[in-house]
Amino acid sequence: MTDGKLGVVESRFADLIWANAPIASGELAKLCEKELTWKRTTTYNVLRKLCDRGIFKNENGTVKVVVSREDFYAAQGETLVDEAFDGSLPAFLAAFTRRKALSADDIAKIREMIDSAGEV
Amino acid sequence: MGAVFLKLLNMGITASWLILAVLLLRFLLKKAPKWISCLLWALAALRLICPISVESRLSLIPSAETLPQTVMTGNSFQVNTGLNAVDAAVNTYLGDHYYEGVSVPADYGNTVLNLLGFLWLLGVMALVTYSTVSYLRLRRHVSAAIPFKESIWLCDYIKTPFILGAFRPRIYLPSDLTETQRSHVLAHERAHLKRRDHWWKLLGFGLLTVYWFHPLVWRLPPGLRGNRCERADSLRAEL
Repeated sequence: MTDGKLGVVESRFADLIWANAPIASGELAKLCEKELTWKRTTTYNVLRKLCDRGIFKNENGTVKVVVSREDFYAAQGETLVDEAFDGSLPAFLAAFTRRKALSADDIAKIREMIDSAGEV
Repeated sequence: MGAVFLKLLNMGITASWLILAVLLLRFLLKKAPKWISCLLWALAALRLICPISVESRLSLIPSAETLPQTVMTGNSFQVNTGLNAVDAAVNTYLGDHYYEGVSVPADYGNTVLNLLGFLWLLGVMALVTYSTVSYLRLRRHVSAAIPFKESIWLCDYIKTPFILGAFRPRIYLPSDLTETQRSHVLAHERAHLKRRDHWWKLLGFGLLTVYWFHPLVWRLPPGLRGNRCERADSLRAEL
């Protein structure tokens, strides 16, 4: 997919790696065969694509993580707020809560984040 | 080889009458119900496939064997199109211009036909190779797909949905469709499957592989295909 986003299929695959890394590439192929019914060559092809994008790397037959799942989706979130809300997090929250109200749990967590952020 | 090719030539010429009839009819009766043209295409296809011809007094087709067997065995080239005017003109022309003063070897017809038959076979093999390679490449392109439900798969690397496979067809969808888009697309593709379009496509392609030398046969598949998408949409609307 374009501009750093992961397609539905790629994210399924990436989740498998994030959950099991570091993992031998042969093992990964077996895992994909079981979970996704993919042939070995398919697994290696998609792996190569994601390694080219810098998310994982294949070192001597072992697949290792370069960008963790949290970091990856954090970057995606930043890009979204930048592009859709001009970098304004409050604007994002306002849009988010327009259709779904915040739960009490959400409010507590956000308050905690605000408090600890203020301390930095 | 020559005999096979001769048979195909004759069948092809006979079918030409039917194909021309369909094309003419579609041009004249644009508003006619589509099943009429489907029926005519079916007759043309049948004529192309079935080597046994039924001679009927009621048949509008002038002749089932335009190039008679004597083309192979004899040392002359006479056509028998069934239209006397054409026969007379062609045979006279050939007689005057090609066989006068020339001694034609006894099995000339046979040799030529064998050569043509051989060339035909080369063409068939080239087409079969091309289609096999295309199919395998497409299969490889969508190998990185995940199952969605039944035999519907999602793939990141395709831009348009399509059906692949004739016997156990799979519907491949781009992975970035919204739910409404997806349900519309699925309804459309399912309508295609219901009308067995994947089989017709295979048949059309089979005919083309065998009759690649026949210019009118290249008009067949688009005729079928154009009908198919509209009919799939109207079928979906009915569902």
